[in-house]
Amino acid sequence: MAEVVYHTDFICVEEGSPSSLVRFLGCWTIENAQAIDNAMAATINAVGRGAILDCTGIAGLDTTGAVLIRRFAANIDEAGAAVLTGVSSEYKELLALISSKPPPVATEPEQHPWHIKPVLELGEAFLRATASLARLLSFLGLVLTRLFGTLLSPGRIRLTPMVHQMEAVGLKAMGIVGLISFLIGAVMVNQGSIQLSKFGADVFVIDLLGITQLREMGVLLTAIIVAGRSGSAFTAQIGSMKLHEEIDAMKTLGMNPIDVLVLPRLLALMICLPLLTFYADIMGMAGGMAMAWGQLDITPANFLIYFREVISFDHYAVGIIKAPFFAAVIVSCGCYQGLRVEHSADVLGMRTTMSVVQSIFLVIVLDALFAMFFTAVDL
Amino acid sequence: MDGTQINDIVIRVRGLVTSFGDNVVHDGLNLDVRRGEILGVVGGSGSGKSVLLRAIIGLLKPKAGTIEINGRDQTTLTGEESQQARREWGVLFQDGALFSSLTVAQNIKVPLREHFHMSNDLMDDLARSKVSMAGLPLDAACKFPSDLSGGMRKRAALARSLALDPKILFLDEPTAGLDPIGAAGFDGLIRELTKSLGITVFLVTHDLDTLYRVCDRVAVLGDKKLLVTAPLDEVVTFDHPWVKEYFGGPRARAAGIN
Repeated sequence: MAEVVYHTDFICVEEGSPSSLVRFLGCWTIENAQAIDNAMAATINAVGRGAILDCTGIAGLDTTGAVLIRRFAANIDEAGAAVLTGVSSEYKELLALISSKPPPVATEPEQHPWHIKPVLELGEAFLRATASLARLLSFLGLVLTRLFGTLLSPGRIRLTPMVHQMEAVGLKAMGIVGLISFLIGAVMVNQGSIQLSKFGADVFVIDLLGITQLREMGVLLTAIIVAGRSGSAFTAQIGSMKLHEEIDAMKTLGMNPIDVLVLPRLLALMICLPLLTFYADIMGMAGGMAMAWGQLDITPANFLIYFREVISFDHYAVGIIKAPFFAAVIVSCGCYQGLRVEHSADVLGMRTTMSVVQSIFLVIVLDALFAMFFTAVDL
Repeated sequence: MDGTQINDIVIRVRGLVTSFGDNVVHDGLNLDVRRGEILGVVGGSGSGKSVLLRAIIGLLKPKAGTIEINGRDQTTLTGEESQQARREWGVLFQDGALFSSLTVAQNIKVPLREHFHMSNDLMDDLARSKVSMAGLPLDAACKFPSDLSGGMRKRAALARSLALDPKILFLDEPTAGLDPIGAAGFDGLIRELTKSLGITVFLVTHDLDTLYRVCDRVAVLGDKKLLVTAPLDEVVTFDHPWVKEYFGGPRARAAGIN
């Protein structure tokens, strides 16, 4: 009787000459895979110079078990030679299927070491952002060329989709824009009056409200709400059309995607955003008026008289003039990102996020530039 | 049919009723799938082939009827048991349904990681074996699904559905959208793999070549029921207008049926 040097539930190693005998036992299935793998790792040293692998004791075998047997044989082969015996006919096909060992190739994409990764990502993000901005600018140029081209042939403007877009981005945004403006106006009066009353100057909240709301807050908040609401919708709509090859179909039918998809949205939002801003201004004033009445006992009539005295038309004009520019930024970001969608729905989600982030960022940057400009021209 | 075969029924569907709103898809459907066979399910568009598959794998709750897999009524299983039962099946969805944020090998490792504790090295080895079993080149292992062609995606999805060594394999239109060479290759792969692994296959298809080359028996869906379940040469002679048109058409002749 040969000496048993190693014994587990799955593997039994008997010392022999010239090579040891390894008997496989039990169920070599996926449930026991890790236990078998551990046993194999422990056995491999004991059978260093080659072995006969006896499969007669195997009670059950699946592909995982077959892979394990192949692993074991390959490991022994590095040192000596492995001979497989006693394979029952039902397992022959299975083992034949698995017998050739696939060379070790990577199963995951290459990863950079942790200390390089953040630097690399930062650099890549910067390059991507500048490239994206440059492409956005050229897209804006393309859209504007198409837009001015319509001056020569006005028939290219598609009225029906434009009116549809005006409803979607303008009319249907009135609820949320109005509500937010009303609340912001009220909060501004509420907080402003607390601070100003320390100087006994609480009536100046009307100046505060009028100037901030009309010049900045009204248009900026409206633009940000619209960017989140409609900019993302533009990306999603155009992006899903892109995924379904509808844009390609459009091109083959002799339609220009810029004319069909971008211009109606651009014109609709350039008309609607100033209107929404005007509406937001009114709602902001109404909110402030209500708060002033409740908190400071300034009646709406007095509020209006004072308001007309201190707030000039310039403040309103400075605010509203920015709206069409913001509209152009939101539409070009939304449509550009939509047209850049490709491959999978994954990209669509990513592009939608990018479109909203980019358009809000650019709207604020543009607003800052406008502020500098208006200060310079003393408005 | 002798007694042993009756006992050896893996999937037994009795009186299945499914509907979407007022639209009844199946009305009292009965079906048996025997152990180790490849059953092809055919039927016109909208006859409820995919619905039947979804009902059997439990993605869709039937209005009435019982579905037994390995003798267990699927509606009486507890959450734990149904989780356990699902490990015995592999499902290949029509578009592969690979997780798009993972590589092919990582996709195969998902079920292994979920159900077993294995070393990464062993999982890598298993994943590579499944990749080569599915007839994919090995460099596909670290590619993302979006970088693969349609045929390769199907093979990768097949590799994932085989990851847990299932006893039953559900295939939803495995050759749809493949070119004839790719489809023939995939047919051969299914036949060879499932026969050598001893898997029972439930296969929904439109493809006459697949029926002819792969399936042991063919079940024809129509009129909200199963019209006939038999080997292909018997089904071909079955007296029903749809069956006659389906198997008597020019495409059937091209596939070598009749």
